Amino acid sequence: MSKKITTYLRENGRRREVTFQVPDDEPRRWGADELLRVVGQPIRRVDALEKVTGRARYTYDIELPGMLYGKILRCPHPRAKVISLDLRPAKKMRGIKAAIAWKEEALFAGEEVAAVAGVTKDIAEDAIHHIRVEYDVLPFVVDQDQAKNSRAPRVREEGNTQGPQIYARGDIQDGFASADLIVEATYTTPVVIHVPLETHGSVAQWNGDELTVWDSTQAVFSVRDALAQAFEMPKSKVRVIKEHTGGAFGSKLWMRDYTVIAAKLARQAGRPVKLMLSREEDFLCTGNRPSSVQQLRVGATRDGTLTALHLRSYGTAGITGGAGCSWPIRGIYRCENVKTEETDVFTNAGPACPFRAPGFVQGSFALESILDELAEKLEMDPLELRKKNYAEVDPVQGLPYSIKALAEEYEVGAKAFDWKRKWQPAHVKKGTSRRGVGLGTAMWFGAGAPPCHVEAVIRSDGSVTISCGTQDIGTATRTIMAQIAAEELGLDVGEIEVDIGDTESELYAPSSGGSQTAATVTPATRVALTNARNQLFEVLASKLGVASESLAIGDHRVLVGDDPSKSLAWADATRHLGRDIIVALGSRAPNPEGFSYRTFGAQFAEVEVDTETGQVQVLKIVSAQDCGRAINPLTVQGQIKGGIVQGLSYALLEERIMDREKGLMLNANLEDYKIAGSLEMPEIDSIIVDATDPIVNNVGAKGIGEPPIIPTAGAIANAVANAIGVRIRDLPLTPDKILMALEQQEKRAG
Amino acid sequence: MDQGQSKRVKRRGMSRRGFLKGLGSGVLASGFWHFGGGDSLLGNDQGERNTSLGPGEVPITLKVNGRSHTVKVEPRMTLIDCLRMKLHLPGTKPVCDRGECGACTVLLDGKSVYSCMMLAMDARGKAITTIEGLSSGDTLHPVQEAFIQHDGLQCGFCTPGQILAVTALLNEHPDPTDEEIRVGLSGNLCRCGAYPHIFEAVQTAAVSIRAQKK
Amino acid sequence: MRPFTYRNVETVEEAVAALGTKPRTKKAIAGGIDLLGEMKEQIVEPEELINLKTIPGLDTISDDRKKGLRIGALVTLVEIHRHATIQKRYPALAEGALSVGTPQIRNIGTIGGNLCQRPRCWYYRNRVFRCLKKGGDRCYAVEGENKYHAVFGEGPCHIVHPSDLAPPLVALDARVAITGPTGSRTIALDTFFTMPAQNIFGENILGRDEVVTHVDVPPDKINQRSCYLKLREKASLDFALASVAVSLVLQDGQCQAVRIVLGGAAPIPWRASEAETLLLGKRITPQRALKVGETAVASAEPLSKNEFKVPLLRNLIRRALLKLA
Repeated sequence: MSKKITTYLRENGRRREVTFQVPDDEPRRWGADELLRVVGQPIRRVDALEKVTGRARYTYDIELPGMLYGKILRCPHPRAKVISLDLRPAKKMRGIKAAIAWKEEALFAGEEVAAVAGVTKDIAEDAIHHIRVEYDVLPFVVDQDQAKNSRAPRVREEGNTQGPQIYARGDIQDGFASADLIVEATYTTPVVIHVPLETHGSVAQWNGDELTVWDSTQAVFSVRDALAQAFEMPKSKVRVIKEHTGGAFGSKLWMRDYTVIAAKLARQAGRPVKLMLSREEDFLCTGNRPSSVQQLRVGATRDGTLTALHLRSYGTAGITGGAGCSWPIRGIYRCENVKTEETDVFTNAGPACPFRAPGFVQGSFALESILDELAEKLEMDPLELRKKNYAEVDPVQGLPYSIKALAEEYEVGAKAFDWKRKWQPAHVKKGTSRRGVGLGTAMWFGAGAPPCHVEAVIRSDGSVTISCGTQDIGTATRTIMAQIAAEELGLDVGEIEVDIGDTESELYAPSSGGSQTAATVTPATRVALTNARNQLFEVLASKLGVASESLAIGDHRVLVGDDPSKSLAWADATRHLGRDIIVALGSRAPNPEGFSYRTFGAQFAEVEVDTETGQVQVLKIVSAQDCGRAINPLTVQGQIKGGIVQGLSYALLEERIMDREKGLMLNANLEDYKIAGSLEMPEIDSIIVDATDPIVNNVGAKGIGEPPIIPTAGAIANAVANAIGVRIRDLPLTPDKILMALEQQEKRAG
Repeated sequence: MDQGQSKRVKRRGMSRRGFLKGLGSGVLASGFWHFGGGDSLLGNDQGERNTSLGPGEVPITLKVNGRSHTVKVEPRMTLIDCLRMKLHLPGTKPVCDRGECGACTVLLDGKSVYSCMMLAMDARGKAITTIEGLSSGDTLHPVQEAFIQHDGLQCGFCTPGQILAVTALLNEHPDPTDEEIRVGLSGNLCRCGAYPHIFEAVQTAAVSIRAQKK
Repeated sequence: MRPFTYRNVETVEEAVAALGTKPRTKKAIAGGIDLLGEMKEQIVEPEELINLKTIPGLDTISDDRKKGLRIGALVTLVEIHRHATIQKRYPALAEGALSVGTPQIRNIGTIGGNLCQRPRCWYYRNRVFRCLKKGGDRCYAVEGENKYHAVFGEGPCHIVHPSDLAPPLVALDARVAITGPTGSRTIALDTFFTMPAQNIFGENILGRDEVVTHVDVPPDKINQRSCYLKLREKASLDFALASVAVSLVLQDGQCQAVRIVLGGAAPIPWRASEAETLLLGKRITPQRALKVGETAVASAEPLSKNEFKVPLLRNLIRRALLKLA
């Protein structure tokens, strides 16, 4: 059964009443103006102490008695069949305790062929060189344009392309026919790699027929279930643990072969095996953000109203698909006539894996770029153009947004950035240091969803433990769960023990991906805590002879009626439990139907381009972003700024470079694969715009992991074009491209 | 390290907590800003001039976090592997293994170095400080305190290296400019992008260290 | 890394003798960052490392107003960058040292190692490619990914010399002291480096049983100025896309003794001799600076993906000259 709720929210500075249905047993929703003591405060993360003292245990740090070190032999050819494999010379080596063969055919350079386990890391590495293997090297293709050619070697039997996947609404022919102006351009983006600092890897240990795996993952249940399947074991016999994960960004969402290999080696040796990938292996084999070639066409009327958007794109990750990038074009701005046609191209290179706002980052770069090209032709302020095409309802679903604070974000962002003064139409400026500005819009989901289960325990000594099979991948999951519990019980976060990252509890939570963790786990936590609190109240009510409805939570106290003299300190209240213990479950309710749940943001970038060297320095980024209720503004700020930093790195530096002749990645290291460091950092002014969403869930929170990376590259590319009067449509914006574009500009100018 | 990990524990989570408890103990404090140098180029190991050592294990003595440890290492063993696998100090993180990221930064006589690109043998006779030796008992080093306060971390994997790089930076520049901070940290990558918060933490730490010294 | 033995030597002679016994299996190690990188990638697999760091006396800078600087081969990059005389009288050298790697690398890396480091070419550094430098029969950069490769030098190998100290030191007319089995000698640094056509397996004249012991920088002349400009994609831990070191004497506004040396451009620090002559006895004007830059790159022969280096080098030269004017 469900109940109808009428409440209000604050949106773009206005109060608006809303009505929706929620399940009967949901806790009272925290309203837009709820007075909260712990939630919404910038709280220090609860595991920071472990992390700053080196005591935080990552998978890489697990040491077990008798543990061996695993190492994988990888195929050096982009396509090959293993003709013969002789493990014996490796097996015979002193200190080698297990050796197994793996794949017989490699579809990209870096696929697993065999593996060994030895008593030290060095011995295992030595043994790899003693495995004798003969390959039949087969024709391959690593270039996406060559792969599209019908005569190219087949990566898959079905062919090297998949699609196009088509989305359409309205009629683009009508849309273009009614346009006063049409702009068309092609934008390209490279394959980029997640590069979590802790490489992928697992430690596997057998105890009889039970398997325990420590995995550097963002999805313990997904890994547990895949392992059970791989070993044809009941799920109850497999346990996956993840205490801390040294970065993931989407690349650790599922189990990969190394985990199974570690478990097989461990079984053969009868000893635990640790198998951590090297940095090079991590680059080659653990996923990427696919490339894109986006042919984009936009039509608009004189006043800037978009009449049609048409995208034809293709892209490659390597042997798997996932090159779609049309979401921003479909869903960020209002446009009645939209068509997107997207084709995956397969090449003999490492596979795709979701990477922080997959598809959005590529698509946003192209969309924000072409909007600025359009604005230039319309002689219109780019911000005005975006406001002109503000979507009041979700253009894809046709549903009203639960809340959309983008108008306020444009306003406060532009003000903080001083957009009105800083923006001037692109023109050929003088001097060798030229400044320019640009902007972009973020839109993402992050509403969370069931299932998710949380358990809360209150003991007679007053201690509280909350458990859930979720993960904290640096996103402060532990901290925000503790905040919810502390809020509900009137305690401090330090008084809440949070036990997560372990399948043993069977308290399912989804993968930490899609920015869904906060919005999935915290509402379930609230349910568990309100259930636990109500149970405590019932115990107290019978002991004190009062009605449980007369009890309430105060600061480290249980309040009885409105008589302060009767209130109990927390420790005294829980002492009434005696030998009893409170164990309460909470489950995540579905989000109310009839709404589109989104987060929004606006980013403004200012750059300086050195026209003699082609070097871009990003001077400043202003971000105005919402995420529903910001449970912990301190860690939300970290997420926002971190997303911007990755977006900047994508815009200026990153690219997987493949050698076409041998089919190998040339820059599988942190010298040649360049990621932004301290000297690339701009001033970042991040404004959290409150858009507490009382509809979406009982906390009012949405995810913040992905949104902030989305508009950064487009905003920077627009700023560069604004600075130098030439547009680079190919990421990354490296000095060579800018310098050559400026040379050509100069030649044209004579 | 034997934490009884091979036994499946009935109650969930307990084994991990048990696992954590045994760690971080036995670490002796070293001073925050004073690092004693070694007396001889070879430390305490004598009688090896112009002789061929290895390729098997040879005994070496390393002074780590104020304590001397004699361990046997092959000459090919890097300092990070020695710290993690021989001395069981896993706070120093392996990330690139090529001197390209800074996660393995330790202090050698107060100067920041990449422990992945240094042989353990070459660290003899130097005062080595790892993250485990930075705090003094329960009292955190001001840099650690500032990282917590400003949330200068997310996943935390680069954090030990960042903190040691900041410590070295503040040894040299007690009142650093923004530029000195950026240059000082330019050898340490953070993929989560915590740099803006780290910069704030450096300023705060600098203030508290200067205040402590007064 | 494969197993190896390790030998601490305490004199240069011991080092030379040790390196000279089965020289193909030996490598000298100082800071070790370049060498360990090569060993980890299995580009070289020495059986023994000869540790030079235990040789006393090679880790100091002697600073004599008349004789100039004598920098021991074990002096670290941070010591060079921080040295008061170097900062004041040889700014190009201080700037070059600061531009190397990262603070951690500068704390460990030595001047000797920096001058003798091997190329960063990703074909050379990747064990799968058997390129010319590894005894193969071709340079993969010619048809391959050559954005970071040479625009001068005519091959057959197209590496760029990676050192950031070499261009300023050549510009400052430095000399390098070498000790081998037959004794010691000092040669001009610009004759130390070798082109691939002369010596495909190395980048300098150093024999397997020789070590660099010192670098000598002549005393600065009155009104001598110098600078080093380096452009890289990433502001730390990155090698030069292109760089330029300029040293000149400005007498009453007129240039004397001009030396312009390019980095990231050729298999050796590349002297722009013809361009230098355009400045002799002349004032530095924006037009002349541009002309010098254009002349310096006139003979460039870019590969398929590094044409940008031509305007980049031209612009850097112009900028460096105008900075010194």
